[in-house]
Amino acid sequence: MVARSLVSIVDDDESVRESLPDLLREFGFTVQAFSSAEEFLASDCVAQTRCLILDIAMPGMSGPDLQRELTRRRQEIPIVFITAYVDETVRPRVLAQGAVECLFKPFTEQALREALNVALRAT
Amino acid sequence: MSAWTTLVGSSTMASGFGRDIARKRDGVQTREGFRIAASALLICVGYYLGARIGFMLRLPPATPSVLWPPNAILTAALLLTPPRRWWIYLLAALPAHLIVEVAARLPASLVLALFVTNCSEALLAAALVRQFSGGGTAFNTFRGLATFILCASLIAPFLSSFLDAGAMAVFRGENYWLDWRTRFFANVLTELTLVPPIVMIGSGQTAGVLPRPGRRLLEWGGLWLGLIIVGGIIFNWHPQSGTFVVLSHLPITVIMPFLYWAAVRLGPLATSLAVLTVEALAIWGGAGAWYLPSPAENVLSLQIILIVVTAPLLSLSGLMQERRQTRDAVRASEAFLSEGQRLGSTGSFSWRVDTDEITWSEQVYRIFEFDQAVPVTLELIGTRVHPEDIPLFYEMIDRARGDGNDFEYEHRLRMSDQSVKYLHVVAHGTRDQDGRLEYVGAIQDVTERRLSEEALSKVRSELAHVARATSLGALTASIAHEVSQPLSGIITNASACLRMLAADPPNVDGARETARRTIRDGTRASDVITRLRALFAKKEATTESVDLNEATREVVALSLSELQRNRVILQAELAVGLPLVTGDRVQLQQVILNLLLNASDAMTGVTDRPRQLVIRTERDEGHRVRLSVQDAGVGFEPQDVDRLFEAFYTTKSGGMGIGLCVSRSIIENHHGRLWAAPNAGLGATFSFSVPCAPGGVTGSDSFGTVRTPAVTYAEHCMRNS
Repeated sequence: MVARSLVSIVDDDESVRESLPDLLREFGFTVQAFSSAEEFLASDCVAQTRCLILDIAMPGMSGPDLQRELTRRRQEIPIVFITAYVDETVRPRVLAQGAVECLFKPFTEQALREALNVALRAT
Repeated sequence: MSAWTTLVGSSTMASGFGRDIARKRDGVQTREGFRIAASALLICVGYYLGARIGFMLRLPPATPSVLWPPNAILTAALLLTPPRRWWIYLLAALPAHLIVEVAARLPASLVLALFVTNCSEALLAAALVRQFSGGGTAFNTFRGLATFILCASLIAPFLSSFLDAGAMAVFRGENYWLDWRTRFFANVLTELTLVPPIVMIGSGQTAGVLPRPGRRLLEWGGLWLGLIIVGGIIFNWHPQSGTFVVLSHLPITVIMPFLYWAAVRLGPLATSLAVLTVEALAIWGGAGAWYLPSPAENVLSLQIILIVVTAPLLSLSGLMQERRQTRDAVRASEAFLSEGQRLGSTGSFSWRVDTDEITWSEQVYRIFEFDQAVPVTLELIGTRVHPEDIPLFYEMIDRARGDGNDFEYEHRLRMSDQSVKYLHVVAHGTRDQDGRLEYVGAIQDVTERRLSEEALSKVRSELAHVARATSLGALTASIAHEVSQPLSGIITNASACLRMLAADPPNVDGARETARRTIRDGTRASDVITRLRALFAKKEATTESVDLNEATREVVALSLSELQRNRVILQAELAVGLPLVTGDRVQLQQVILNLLLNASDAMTGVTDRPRQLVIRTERDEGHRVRLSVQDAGVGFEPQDVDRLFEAFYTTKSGGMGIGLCVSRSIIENHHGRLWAAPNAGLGATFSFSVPCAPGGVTGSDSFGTVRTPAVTYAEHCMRNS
């Protein structure tokens, strides 16, 4: 049996950290949730993470900051950004940096699945 | 007479030019010299004509003159001119004197002696009047006329007549005392009747004295018509001598009412002219109406009676003239006051408490729209007082009656056309010697002010709404974020829930948990909407007790993500046990929001230091609460501090510049103060201070120092949920 893929979530919003892991587990993933980029970097999940669902706006290190840091560390984890700010300039920017997808909250289950599929295919 | 008028007119002008001469301008000096020469010529002509008339007024055969005008003309000329020029005008009369007297075939030495005595009377008269009336010749006052009568018409002729009689006795061997008597009475009467009109017309004291077109002119006409008709008849009535001795005082008895009329109603000028008219009529009638044996006695009798009558009448006319002037001044002052009251929409009133006697000024009648003929009573006032204010009105009356203290209150009137007026009443209570209470006060119609205050309040409320709507625009992204977060949770939870239920076997516990979280997130979204609705609703200002800390927390919660997006680090230092304030919660939150957003915007360009924003509440001195918002932004120049609060002044590219202006007006409406000050370091601090509500403090919980806004926000949400 293939080990379940680990999906990590980094979001400062507690409600996201509660609800999203439940849904992803229903999809069949192993899930870890972190409240900040710093917490994620400090954990031992970085290397095992097959896909990173990352909030853009966070106090301290933001989503794009983490993306750059991972690139710098040559940790090429597929990233799906999620954000509650409807800012049309942010999406092309993060996609150009190599992100798989950028979803605006609230997003549908369908959109999330498709983004995850693309991300996991990328690995 | 025309010659005298011209003389006087020109000498007045000469005296006017005398003042101008000080300017030392050649042209003026030349004209001044010309004026003096013209005046001197006219005095010469006047003196000549006066003397000719004096001779003509001698009643035949060979009686003394009834009047002797030359001396009076000289006196008037000297009274009208400054002493330094008296010698010119006295010398000017010399040629006329020579011509007249030489023609009368008098010896040269006597002619010169008489000139000296004539001049002495004029000099004495003018010098004495000048000395005792303070330099002027005011013939419109009792004091001026009394001084003139005493000095010019009695003392001066009295003294100079000794010289006159002496000259005649020495040169002609005439009876000294007879001559003295003749000259004295003639001179007194002439001075009394001729000098006042000449001087009054010459010095322009004719305002309110000369007849003007209209009723006054008619009165003058009526007086003279009556005087001439009655005088003409009485002085020309010559009953057989001796038959009507008893009637010897009839003429003056008949004439007196006309003279009284002139003195009481028409003033000193008319009085002098009326006496002159009587003299003319008496002379025309031959002065024979006195029924005395000799013409000389008749003349003397006429002179004495007229002198005795004229001196007090002139004084009386002076008194009456003063009274009229005082009355006119009072009327002018009353008109002035009335106009002032009308312009200021303020009337005055008095109220005698024991008799309820009320006196109103014109303006109060206008304010109440009552006819001035209607007697004012409290009941009448009650009919105008707005029905809702009737209890207040009578309570005020009762209190005033009771304690006699000053009072001040406002009430409304309802007029007959149902319109409403707002009155401001202030009254001061005084007690007279008998301890009776009287109020004197002012009533101001403040309707316009009140209406404009209401209009202003409405505009302010609308402007505040615009400012809130502007903030709403600035907050759109933030609001979208606040709503999207819980929505996202709802959708994710619901999706998970469906999947858990669809599994085999269904994960009921997991589904229950996700459903519970769905509800929680729904509540969270709903809270955001509720807060937004409260903050951006357009409604009239209300007054309630407001916990400034709680109001601040709510605003912070709404704007947190906006601040966070701008990378602002918010530090909230909310004082524990802060007293409540009284005011409109939404408006105060609007101000706080405005200050927060401004502070955030001020730090947009800051990259070299943390974008630190401190919001602080604390007790302020004077039982007040202060809230301040301190940023580390661009700050402002000290000279711009006043402009910051001007409407449409902005340093932001997208700002309307009404936020601070509206904020300040809101705080001032709360009897507070809003101000700005540059920080010691970078940035600026905006603060407001508002009075505490009576009693009550907030709960003891506090944000404390917050360095992670999101955590604070989450805590806040959980507290609310």
